[in-house]
Amino acid sequence: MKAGIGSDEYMLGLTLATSNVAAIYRPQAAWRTIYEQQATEGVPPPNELQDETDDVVGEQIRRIAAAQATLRERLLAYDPEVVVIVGYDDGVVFNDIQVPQFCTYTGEDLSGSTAVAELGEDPDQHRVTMRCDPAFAWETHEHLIDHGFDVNYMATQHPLGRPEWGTSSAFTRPAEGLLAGMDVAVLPIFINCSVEPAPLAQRCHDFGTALGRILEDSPKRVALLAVGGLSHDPRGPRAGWIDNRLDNWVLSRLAKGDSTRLRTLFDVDSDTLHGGTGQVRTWIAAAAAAETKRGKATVVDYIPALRAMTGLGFAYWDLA
Amino acid sequence: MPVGFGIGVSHAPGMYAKTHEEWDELWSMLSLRANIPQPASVARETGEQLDQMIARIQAGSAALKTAFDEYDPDILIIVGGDQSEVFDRSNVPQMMMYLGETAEGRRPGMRFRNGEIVGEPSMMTLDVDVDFSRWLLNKLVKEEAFDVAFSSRLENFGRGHGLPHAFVNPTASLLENNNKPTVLLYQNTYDPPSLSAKRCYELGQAIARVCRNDPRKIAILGSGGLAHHPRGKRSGWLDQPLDRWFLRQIAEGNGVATKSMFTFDSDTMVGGTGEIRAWITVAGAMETMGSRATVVDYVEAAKSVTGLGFAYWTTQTPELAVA
Repeated sequence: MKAGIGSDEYMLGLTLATSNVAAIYRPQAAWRTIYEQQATEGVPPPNELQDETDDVVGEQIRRIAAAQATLRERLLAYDPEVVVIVGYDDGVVFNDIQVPQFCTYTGEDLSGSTAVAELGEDPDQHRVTMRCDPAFAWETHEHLIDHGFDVNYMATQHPLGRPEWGTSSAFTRPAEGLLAGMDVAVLPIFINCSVEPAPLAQRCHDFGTALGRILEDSPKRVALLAVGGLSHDPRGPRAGWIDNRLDNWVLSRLAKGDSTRLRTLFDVDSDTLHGGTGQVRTWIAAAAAAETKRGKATVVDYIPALRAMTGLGFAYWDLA
Repeated sequence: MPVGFGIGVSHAPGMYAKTHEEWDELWSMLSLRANIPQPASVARETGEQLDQMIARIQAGSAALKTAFDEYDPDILIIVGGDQSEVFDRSNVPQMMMYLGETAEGRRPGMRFRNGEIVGEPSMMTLDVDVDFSRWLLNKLVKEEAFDVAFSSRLENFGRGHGLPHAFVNPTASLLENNNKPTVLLYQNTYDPPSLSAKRCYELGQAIARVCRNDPRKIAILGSGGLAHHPRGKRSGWLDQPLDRWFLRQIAEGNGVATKSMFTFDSDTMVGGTGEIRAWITVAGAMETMGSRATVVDYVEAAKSVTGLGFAYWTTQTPELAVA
């Protein structure tokens, strides 16, 4: 859809952010298996785990579903032409042959799997293909280069980590869930959230600011979706532990429209910032993009779900 | 010792041609077979004039080798591009640091007949200082805001033959009898959208800055250029004003002015001309160290389709030298 000069149709009107761990896409019966697969031998769980009875988990799952429904409602109401998904690689796409810091996908479509390896699911039984918009992707990519970001591009899929899985679950799971049935193109952008040296928070913040400005000037109605986090460390030295304090601080900054405070987050090295917590980078980029339009996050819910091993966050920025 | 020595050098195949036959075979391969109308200047590249040109190319390379051996660095950073040799379209970086212990590539000077390589190319291996490379990578990513991708394993998804020729061609002679550990820093010099010249200059500045307190003697080499577009629309049509302008800037210690290159789109800025980016990075590094380039020579080799440049920087301020 094209609109005239001065029209608000040219814009970034909605930003969203969601956690993306496998458990939130599977029924309660699957949680225990996933947990056991992601636990680290010799790392005891926090005492509070025993308080998370089946009833408590059942209530958490209801809240997760409600939060996901809220995000989806926002998205349907906004009805974007393109959803830019800022995600991470989960070991499917990149290996030691080359790890990019930022990477734009510019192909015609992107396919992968939503299967959960911990449940023994066959990737072929859970295929997802997303429609992309190469012209839009190239234009966005070129603008990012112009803004001084040294972004890799991926024009064809050639996954090297676990090739049979296609692309990262950071893209496939939201495509199957949040975007289900929507006729919308996606623009996947990878941020290196886990392999050191990974970009600093301030770099991700600057990247988000640039992305926000670029999307605001784009000729499409765009939504931006950050995928990943919040604190979690599956199979790591803190597997099963959640840093509620960190997550709450992050969310409170975003709610105030003050993501600038997150710019130093990864300057220090710490166990609490390793593992999946590194995916908070995608939230930082999204928040910075939203804040170019003075956005403040509406935190839909925060659920420190010990049995899902993750501080689960759901938020959106209404920018329209 | 910080970064104390820089080199900018072309790497066109014509530089390794020793006979008139080899020279003309390259001409045929790069321009004639593509049916590109040729400039009148190709007429100069026969007989004695061609002998002189070949001699100047060899003298230029020899002068760089002498300066390199005199400085005798502990480590050599090589900045170069890729022409679909290593990368296919599945993961194309703007900058990438190689972290493998060695890397192999094809030695320059291959003979061609009817566009095909004659015989088996000989291979050479570059040693990589992995610790230093990783240290530099970390500095660039964590302190200097460069989004440098990294690789621990060389795999040819493109046309094969190991390392891109940008890394091997100039080092075959330079490291002969004086092998040094290298840092292999890939830069997108060729594949649009490529890096801005500003970004390339700033990369060099950042390298010089972070290496300032390093105890080793560090050299940096930018490989490629100058203006050329083999098999392209203007294959063989050198852009001498552009090349000479560029060389003058670096000779005057004014490489900062070259940030304005590639800010507009043009037939003359595409193809191998983009490799000037690697020189701009070297200029950024050496100018940060207070140096300006000694331009050894500029050879207008139309048949090998390239304005060939030979320059080096030391931290002793040289007499102004413009070829």
